[in-house]
Amino acid sequence: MGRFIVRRIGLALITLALLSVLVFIGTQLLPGDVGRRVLGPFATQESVDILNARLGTDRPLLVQYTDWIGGAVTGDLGDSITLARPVTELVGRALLNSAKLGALAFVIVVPLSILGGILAALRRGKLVDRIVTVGGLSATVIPEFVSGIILILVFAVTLGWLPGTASAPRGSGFLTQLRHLILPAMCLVLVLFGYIARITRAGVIEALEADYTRTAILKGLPRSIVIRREVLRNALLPTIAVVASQVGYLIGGLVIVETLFSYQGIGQLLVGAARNADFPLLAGGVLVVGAVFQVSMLLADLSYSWLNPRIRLGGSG
Amino acid sequence: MTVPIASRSQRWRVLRGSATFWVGATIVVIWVVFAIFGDFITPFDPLGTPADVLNRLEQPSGDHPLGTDELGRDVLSRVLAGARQVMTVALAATVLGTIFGTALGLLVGYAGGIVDDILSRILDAFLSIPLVITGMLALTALGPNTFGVIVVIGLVFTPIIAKTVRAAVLSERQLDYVTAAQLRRDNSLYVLFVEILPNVANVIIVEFTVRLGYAIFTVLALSFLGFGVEPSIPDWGLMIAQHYGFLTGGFWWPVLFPAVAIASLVVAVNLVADSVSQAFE
Repeated sequence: MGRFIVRRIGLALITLALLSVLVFIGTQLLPGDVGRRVLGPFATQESVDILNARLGTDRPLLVQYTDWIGGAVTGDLGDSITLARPVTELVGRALLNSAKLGALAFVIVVPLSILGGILAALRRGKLVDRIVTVGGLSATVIPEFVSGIILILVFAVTLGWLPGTASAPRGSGFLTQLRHLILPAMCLVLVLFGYIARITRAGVIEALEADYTRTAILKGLPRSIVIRREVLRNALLPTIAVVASQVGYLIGGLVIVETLFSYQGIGQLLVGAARNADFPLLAGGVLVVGAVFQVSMLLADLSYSWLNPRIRLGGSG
Repeated sequence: MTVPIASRSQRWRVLRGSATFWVGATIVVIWVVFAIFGDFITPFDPLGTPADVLNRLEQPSGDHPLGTDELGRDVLSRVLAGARQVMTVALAATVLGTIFGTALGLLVGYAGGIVDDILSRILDAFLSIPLVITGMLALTALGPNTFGVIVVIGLVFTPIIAKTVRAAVLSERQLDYVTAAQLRRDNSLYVLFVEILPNVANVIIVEFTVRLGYAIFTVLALSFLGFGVEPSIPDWGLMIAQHYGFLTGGFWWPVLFPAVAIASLVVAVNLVADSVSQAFE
């Protein structure tokens, strides 16, 4: 187990280092003259030179990279060009907002999709199964700005039950904030539901067909007890790992949902940075997103191996 | 897996018998027809005319069955013409990714060892950030244009497809026909592309259809966010981006109809991909 953890953390670090090189290429090498890209074709060469000197983009690439990555390790990602504030501060605040939205989505989707997956498995081939699998797949592939539009049209415009934007007025209470977050969270729920439900369904079907389930049934245990004690306990193991691994989809979804509902999270921050060619903010933000993803995948793997005695006790693993 | 490999005709029979496949395929074909013949079908010029400004945001009516947008352009014409933009870009990106990914996967699977490890790490790094963000980053760096969208999506697909093809090549390499070809001292490239490639074609077909779904999703998401499409081009994502601010004012038609078009296309492509995966894997 110990060796497994060390190896897994090592892999995550290597991946992050590679990602930092890719992000650096994307934000400092590919744009060519960064100052020119930021200021546009009509700026004087003098002001472009001044900006390049201030950003440090007139130095050799290797120096720029080591400086940037050295700062990143100590929590300094430079300053945003357009917002004139430290990138770390901006990204931190945005991440906190996104975490609220993401947490609400997870609180709704996890029980819902697990329940859907279990029902589909128990009624395999029946109507419920078709609805959960085909409906879930369809909901997963429809872009968030399409499902979001339909949710806004139905619940905000037509019925008037919920607000169509995510940002509550300043100083409003917890419940008002929550009300504003329901529609954006539902968009994310629609995207995440299908996959988690599918994995749960597959796990339950596998457990239903396993020998220990047959033994339990032949022993004469009631079906409800067999399902609760034997099937679910074994089937939900892979689901737990899958839930944590959905963070990647969640962040991809946040980019769109936060734009549609104008919510000040990490997604909107990155879109703004890209639109304004704010390279320091974009580079820092993407790197942090990659780190968040790697950490959640790490936690997914570790929790799975900890919950799964075959790996936990397997020694070399 | 040790399941006996189904013959080619059996696979097609499974596919032909799948209702999901037919529903999906029919919708895809309809959109392909609009994409190709859109110019002859659209009742009005999708790009609009100066006179359109007089009919801004008109409700759906006999003249304009789906209404008009903020510049008075016919929404029906723009929705039909929009099929071309998304389908050409997504298809080109997927073809690009599939060609490079297949070539890379064949080579890496055949070479193995350190090359294999390097590919896996690069793939992991790419997959640490959502495709939409990678796309935004690259389009910001290279300047936003449609060609950039194709290259970026194709480039990100390359290692993903390569990984799948590599796994298929690894299991083929053990088989007798490859050993025989090697003993015959056939050229490695010949073995790869003439002997092995046809035998991993199923994997590639499945991968292609699945990736096409992702490509459509990403192309539309990027254009919704304002990356990669010129503002005048009829594009579904862009149409929604330009008009969702009008929703609260009750102007639902320039937003809802492109949204329905997107939903029908992505669901249809994924129904096809899903039934192809089930028949071929």
